[in-house]
Amino acid sequence: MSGYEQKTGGHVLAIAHNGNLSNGRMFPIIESFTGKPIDREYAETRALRERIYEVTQIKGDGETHPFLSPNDEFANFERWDKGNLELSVKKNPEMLEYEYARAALRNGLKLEQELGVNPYKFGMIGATDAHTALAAVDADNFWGKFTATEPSPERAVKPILEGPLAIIMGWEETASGYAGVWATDNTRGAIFDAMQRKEVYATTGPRIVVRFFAGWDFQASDANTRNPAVVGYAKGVPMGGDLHQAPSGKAPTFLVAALKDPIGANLDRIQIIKGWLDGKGETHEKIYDVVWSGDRKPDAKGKLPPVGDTVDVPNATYTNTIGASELIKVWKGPQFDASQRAFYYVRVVEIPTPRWTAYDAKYFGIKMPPEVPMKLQQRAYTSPIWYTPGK
Amino acid sequence: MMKLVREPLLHFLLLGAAIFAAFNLVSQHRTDKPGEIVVTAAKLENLVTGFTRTWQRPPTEQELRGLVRDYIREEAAYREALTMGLDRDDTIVRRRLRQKLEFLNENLAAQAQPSDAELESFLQSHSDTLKTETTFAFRHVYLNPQARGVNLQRDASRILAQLRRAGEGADLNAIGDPFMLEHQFENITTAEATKMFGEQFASGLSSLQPGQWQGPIGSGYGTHLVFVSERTEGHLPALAEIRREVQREWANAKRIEASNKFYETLLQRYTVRIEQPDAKKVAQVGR
Repeated sequence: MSGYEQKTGGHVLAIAHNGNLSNGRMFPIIESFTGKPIDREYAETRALRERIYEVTQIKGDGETHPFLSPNDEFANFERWDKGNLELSVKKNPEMLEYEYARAALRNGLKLEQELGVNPYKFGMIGATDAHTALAAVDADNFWGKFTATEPSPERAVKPILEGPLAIIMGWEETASGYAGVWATDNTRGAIFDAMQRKEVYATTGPRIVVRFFAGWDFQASDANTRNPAVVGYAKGVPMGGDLHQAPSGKAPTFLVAALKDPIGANLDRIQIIKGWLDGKGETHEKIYDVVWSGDRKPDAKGKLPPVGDTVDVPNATYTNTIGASELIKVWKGPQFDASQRAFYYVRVVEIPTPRWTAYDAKYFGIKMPPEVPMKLQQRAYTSPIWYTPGK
Repeated sequence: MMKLVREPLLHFLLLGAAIFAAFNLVSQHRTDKPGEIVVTAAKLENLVTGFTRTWQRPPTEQELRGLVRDYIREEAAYREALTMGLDRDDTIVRRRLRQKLEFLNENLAAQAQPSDAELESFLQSHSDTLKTETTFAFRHVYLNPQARGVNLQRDASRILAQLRRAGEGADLNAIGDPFMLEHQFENITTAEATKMFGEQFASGLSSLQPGQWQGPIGSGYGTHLVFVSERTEGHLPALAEIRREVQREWANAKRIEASNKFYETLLQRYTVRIEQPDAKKVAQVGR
């Protein structure tokens, strides 16, 4: 990559994907080919070249895994965790920490403390990884990964990958995802720049619009604005940005807003996911429900009741009689410690909708095997905003 | 005789014959006896050029030996495969041969240069696809259905009356609900409006008369009151403005026409018989 830049004067970035099929090699602490702990040079190279990561795509979702995030009720989403890409080596749970984005963001904080550079300080986008040249990965418009898995009555029950140890069936394909980019202009250069500054987000198929800003002075009334971006940029940094050295006595404040897909489902809730490194060098994560539809009240344990479910699986339909078309809120994180490294990113969750397999079953008049999921809650993930103590 | 001279199939056959004659001249097959593979100097040069184009440098001696060894294997395998008839009944070989034939024919069609008169007449007869889209400039006020609940219709009427009193310049900062998309748009097409707001809004927009606050019209998000300040009807541009597009469309139309004509002529040399499939077999294939 450096050679290309020197020779041509061009710019180049690398977007890694499918950590979930790497069997622990995507975000290592011990480099798997040399067996040595990663060093500063390795960290610098990753930080420089891999500024964004493809967190969701047809071959499974890569945000997190129930084994890593047992308290995350939305963690069990479109998992591909049988083994490596060739399905020649089985997955064991110890590998997962080095495969999923959230765990990597956490380990990145730890490595930054040790090495002085965070190798896993990446923004997040979605992409299809389709080999069909079709940007058609929403549940009601899913054209598959390969030409051989384009819509047909058989595609769900045919293997898509076969290895010596496991088989992955067509129905396991995820109708995902897209990249959202906050660029100053719809040009190649402006989009590249936005990717370099990580001002991007991922969706698992719906065209949801998401804004996310962090600063020290957002007020509750900033959420009543008609244009959150104006106050967002004026008082804070956008997704992918950095906060340093908290002003004395202050905790970060966040302005977050999401608008549903105009031809898609309403929104259930917006969550902020915080990861941090404590004084003992251990990392943690916590999920906060920040704003949600309707007048639901969290229970005594702080758990928000589910939004409901209008999905009619046999007819592959749902109604927008639940959920919200837009959610916006200013949020101040509790439990902020100005001496601890942290990251915050947003997860927007839609109301339940039919999965692509339900649309296929309806369209082709077929019956899916009992193990095939028929509905899901689609989502968007933003790039994190990092807090770093010191300057 | 004149008729024959204008015959596209004749042009095609002549051109094809010329290309194959040229190909045979440069190909090494002529120099090979059966049971002998000759790697000519021209072939060597060809291998080096191909490698250089891919790798941006010439092959090393070792790489060149590899290229030559592979070429010899390819040539031997190719001849054996032909002898064994492996080219027959092969979907990919058939598809490739058909493609080559069609390319030759289409190249011929692509040579033609249209006159201005031809393009002008093409533009007029394809005005449906070549005219510009209607564009709109508008401001809107969003009403959130979840926030307003059962009061939505009542609020919409009240706010509409308020907006009509204020007119085009109404201060939108204090009216309606927060909304993440812009509140003012200049020159957006129906297609763009559909992408941003959904089909219902786009068709609603087309039905509004400019110059007055109107609505409510629905969208994927909720309800909107809209002031269309300008509506520019789609029109057919002059040839000079979109000459390149017209020429491209014209060439494509010619290509399709030539292809149809080519097959028409070609198939005159054949009788085609389609056998009825066995009814029982069909029942098995269906679900």
